[in-house]
Amino acid sequence: MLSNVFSTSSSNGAPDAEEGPDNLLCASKKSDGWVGLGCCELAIAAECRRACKQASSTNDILKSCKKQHESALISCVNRNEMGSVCCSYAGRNTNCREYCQAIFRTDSSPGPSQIKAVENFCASISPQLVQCVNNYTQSYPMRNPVDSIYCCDRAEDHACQTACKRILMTKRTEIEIVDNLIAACKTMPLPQDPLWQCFLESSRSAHPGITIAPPPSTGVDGAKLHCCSKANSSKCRELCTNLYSTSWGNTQNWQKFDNECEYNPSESQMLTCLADVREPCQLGCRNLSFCTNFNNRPTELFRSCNAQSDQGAMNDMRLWEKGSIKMPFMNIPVLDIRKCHPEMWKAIACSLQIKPCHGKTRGSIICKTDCVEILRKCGDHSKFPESHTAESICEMLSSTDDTEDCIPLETYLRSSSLEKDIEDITHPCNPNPCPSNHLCEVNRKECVPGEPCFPYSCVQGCKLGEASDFLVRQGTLIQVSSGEVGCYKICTCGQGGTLENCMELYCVDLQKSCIVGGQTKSHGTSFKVDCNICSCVAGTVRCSKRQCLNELSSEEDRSMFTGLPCNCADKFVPVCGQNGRSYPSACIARCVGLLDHQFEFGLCSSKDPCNPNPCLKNQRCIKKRQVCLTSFEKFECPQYECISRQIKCEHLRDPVCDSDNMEHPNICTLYQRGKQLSYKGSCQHFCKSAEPVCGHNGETYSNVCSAYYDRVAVDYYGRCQDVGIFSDHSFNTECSSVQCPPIPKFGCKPIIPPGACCPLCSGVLTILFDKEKLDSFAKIRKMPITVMDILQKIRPHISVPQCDIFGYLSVESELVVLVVPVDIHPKAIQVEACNREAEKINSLINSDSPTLASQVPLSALITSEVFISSTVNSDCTKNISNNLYTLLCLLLNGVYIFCHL
Amino acid sequence: MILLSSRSVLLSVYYPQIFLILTSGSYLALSSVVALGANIICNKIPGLAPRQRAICESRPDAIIVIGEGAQMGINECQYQFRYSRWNCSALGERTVFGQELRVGSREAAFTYAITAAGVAHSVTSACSQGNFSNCGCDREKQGYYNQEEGWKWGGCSADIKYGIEFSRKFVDAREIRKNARRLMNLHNNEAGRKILEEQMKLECKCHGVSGSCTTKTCWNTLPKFRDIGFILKEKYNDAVHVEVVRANRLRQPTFLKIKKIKNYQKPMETDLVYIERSPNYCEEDSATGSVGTQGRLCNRTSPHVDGCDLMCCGRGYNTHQYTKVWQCNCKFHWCCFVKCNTCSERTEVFTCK
Repeated sequence: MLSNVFSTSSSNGAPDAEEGPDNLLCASKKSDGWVGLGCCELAIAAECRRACKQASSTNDILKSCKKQHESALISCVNRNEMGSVCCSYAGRNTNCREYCQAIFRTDSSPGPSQIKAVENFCASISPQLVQCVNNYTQSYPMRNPVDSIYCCDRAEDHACQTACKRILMTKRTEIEIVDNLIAACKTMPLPQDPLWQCFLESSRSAHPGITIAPPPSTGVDGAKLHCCSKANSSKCRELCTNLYSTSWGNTQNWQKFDNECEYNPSESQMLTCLADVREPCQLGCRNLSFCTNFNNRPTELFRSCNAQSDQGAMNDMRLWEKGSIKMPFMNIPVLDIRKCHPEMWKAIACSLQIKPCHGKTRGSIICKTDCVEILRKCGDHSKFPESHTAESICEMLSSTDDTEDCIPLETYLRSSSLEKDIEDITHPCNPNPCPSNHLCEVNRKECVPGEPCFPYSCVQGCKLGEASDFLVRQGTLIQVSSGEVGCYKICTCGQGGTLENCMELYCVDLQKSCIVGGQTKSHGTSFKVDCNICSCVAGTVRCSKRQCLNELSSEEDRSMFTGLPCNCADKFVPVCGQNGRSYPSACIARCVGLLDHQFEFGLCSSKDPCNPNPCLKNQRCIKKRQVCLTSFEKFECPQYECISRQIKCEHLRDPVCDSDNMEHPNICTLYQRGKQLSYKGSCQHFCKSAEPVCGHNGETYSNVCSAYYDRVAVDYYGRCQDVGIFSDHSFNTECSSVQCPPIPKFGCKPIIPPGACCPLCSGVLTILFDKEKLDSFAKIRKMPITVMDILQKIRPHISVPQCDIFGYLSVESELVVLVVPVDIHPKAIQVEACNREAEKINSLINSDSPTLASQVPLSALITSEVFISSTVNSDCTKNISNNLYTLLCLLLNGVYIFCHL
Repeated sequence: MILLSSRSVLLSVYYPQIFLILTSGSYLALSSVVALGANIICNKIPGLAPRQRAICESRPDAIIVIGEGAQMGINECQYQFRYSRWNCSALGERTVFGQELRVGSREAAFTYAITAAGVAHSVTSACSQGNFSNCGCDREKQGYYNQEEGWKWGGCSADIKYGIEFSRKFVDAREIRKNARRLMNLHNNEAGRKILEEQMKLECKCHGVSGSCTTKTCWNTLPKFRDIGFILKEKYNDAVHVEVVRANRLRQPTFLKIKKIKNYQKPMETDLVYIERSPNYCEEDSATGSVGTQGRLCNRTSPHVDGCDLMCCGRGYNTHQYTKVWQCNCKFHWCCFVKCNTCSERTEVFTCK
């Protein structure tokens, strides 16, 4: 009687079921017992099916059938049970009973005529029945056939198309629609017929509660797909998209891509991006047995420092000894490389395999002069392809001589001057110690005694697509290319290691360029206008808002120039903006766009957001300082948090230190005791003295540790008392009253971060960000995006535990990020490592590399500028042509430094 | 019985993943309001066995891919037999798997093998393209490094095992009668899938500019379906005549053995097998399902089966003459018109009487 879906399968030429276990009708026929029997064939596990057939109540099946696997069965049983309850009100009235049962017969939504019929026949017999049926039908989403009218256009036959549209507009029940369609189009539904395919595609599954969710289409490799947008030629963009979008490319496509793009110097942007996905640049190289000159270079960046590439370099050398170098697009005939400068050939082979990538563009190409030199000497000129010379061949291989873009061989002709096993710099995540599908992160937490403590931790990640090796961290929001070039989706990396809850974000028109001073700048290019950094973002120019002097500035301008935004006077009368940032003066606050009612006098740290208490009676108000980058008008920027007073604290040991310098076992206990958090981690000895410090953000902190906990580095000791220095041009006396902490004497040319008073040894990044994009992320997250959010996302990309990241929002509305040596008295090599890390981050931002751009909110960073407290070492590399300078650096640093000339 | 129980084991192995994904699936799909429920359409699809219908209802996305796979098989069959008397058609209702042959002939063997392979092929490729929920690229292959040969699995390997399993689950489900034909069909289905699996190819790519190919990634790819068509056509030519052995107590068909051989020699896994001789397909015959060759195009000069003599089974042929006219030798004249000549060609077409 109440058999389910199968009971209507009567027409058509299907071989009807004979006797045997496959017969589905028998179960429902013989049983007048349990209503769920007709559903048993929906069971998936054999065990469950057996149990179902013998069951006499729903409870019987729940023992053998797992709820989460057998949802189809369970929903069918539930429906039938509900039907049996509802229809039992009909009593002996067969008409009413039959109409009632019709409602529950299949799981398709009951048509209006069916519901009407129940009302007509049952209203007088049992109002409960009508109510019961209504409860069921109302829970069903009503389907509107007109919404599927687009399917009609897929029909091949014109008459069928028009009939289909008419049928969908006039007929209401599903059965009517299907029968009329079959009659009008003169075809039975076949899944290969485009019309029926369309209906099937948009149909929901037969079992309510189960929806067929197509896997998020990120392309087979979403990370590499992102790189395709960086292609220079439309042909390479198309080929690249073919390889990584819907299906993995075939051999022909791979070959085409190899021939036209893979080694094409004009596609370097895309290629670097692809290389970043395959083999990210990592600090440090050691333990190689063939390419020994690459060992002990803890502050240099390489893509592939491993035994396999080491072996590869050796294999390459052996092949080249046969007299020809096989390149992807040509063979270069060479003399006996065992006799002709073998050390240079080795450096070449190793460079090509180990892939140093410290240049600005992170490419691993050999410089042209080196190429020409070696081919002139050791190329077999008699066998060169016609009309080719060493120069012309090298022009094809590497057209650059800029050390920002290419690797000077010189570096790798001798071994590193550093001692073996330097302990000053470590690389816990290189080589990667984590299992596959896991990301390695440097462990910066203090170790809890008695528990195992590794310098790294492994976190599960999600792949950006089926064929992708690129991992993103679990539990984070991800921005991923959505298949079409320039279009993006936002997804969550879920617990199962898969991307979930994706939603379309926006498309960027990559073809739109900007015109600046008569020059065309394409999307993504960064440039300077006066002292401001700018970038072209899909047709609009985004620039920083620094106060600049240029050659047109008059003498008067110069004398009045303060370097501060809007040329505000350098008076220190701080105000606190609603975005959570303190500004040195009301003038500056107005200049960044705050209205008079949007800031109040005094530092933000001096305000008490919990007075008056904004929380409910049973809640406790906790100060939570944050500086929001998103619009506070739209997303607010609360400086407090309300937490329930009645929480039971677990005995978890995760020590925290309160503002009275007392330690508590965990944050929950601290709040329960009514204390204010100063910083996480156990109370530090050196933070005991209650000496306030002034952070780079112009905010006073009670001690160093609480400043660090806010990821703000210390500018000087004592309360904030001055505006800070903003420009090279301002001959200010602002910071004269400030006493700066001492800086290391060697190995560092200290720099003053924007708005700070004191110089320090670190890499400094000034980053321009896209506020509208951040706003759109905030809308999705339903939370403002803060400086801390950004810093916490960048932090895992600092691979050396000896460096850490701090940052703040500058008064020029740029994000300033400092990569600072952790040690108070850092060694030169540690400063160097931090500089390299800063340069790495800078170039990842500027190239919009998927390493950062796949993460929300880092994808909103537009362009960045890096200043490094250059150790003399890197100065030598940079100013390779400057003999005098090199001499100077040699003289200054004597033994330690290796200079290349 | 043996077959059935093993199938349900497979189902229980495969389904849990499916449902885990389904139940945790996105909420977006719920909001789409549609005209027709899958069950209504699935009920009307001709020729589905009950188990197939259940799959159709629970996985409407799958039935589309299955339909495309079956169609690919039918198209390939028509291509392979375009010059034969039997051109892959039969009398009767069109089903998902085309019109089915009633006689257990070698032609039937071919159609079963090619549609089973077609379904496996299209499911596998839908998996790789991310168009099929709960499958993707072959995860077994990912991250594995072959130390000896110096390459690692990378990219997207086609998950042929999933495709074959799905084809087994769906295509084999139409064999609900317990007879000799069932054994024949199941064998041929399996043969088609086996041949597809054997034709999987390893593709590799070297990385880096230097010649040594130190870093090499490899992946498995599906063969072109045309290749499968040609191999199955060969198998069709060498198809094995078999008979059933009724071994158990109930005298039900238990397994197949090669006919005319005394000892119980079973056919090879990849052999196509048939149990009845083919009709000659000359005339329309409702008993065999033959459509006959009347009206078929033939080649007057060919001595082969596409020649009019053989194709028309001695009934003779009609000659149709056409004159094809087109513009040729066009020239552009300054300025601005194009002048062309008119060319024509007489062609003759022959169809069987």
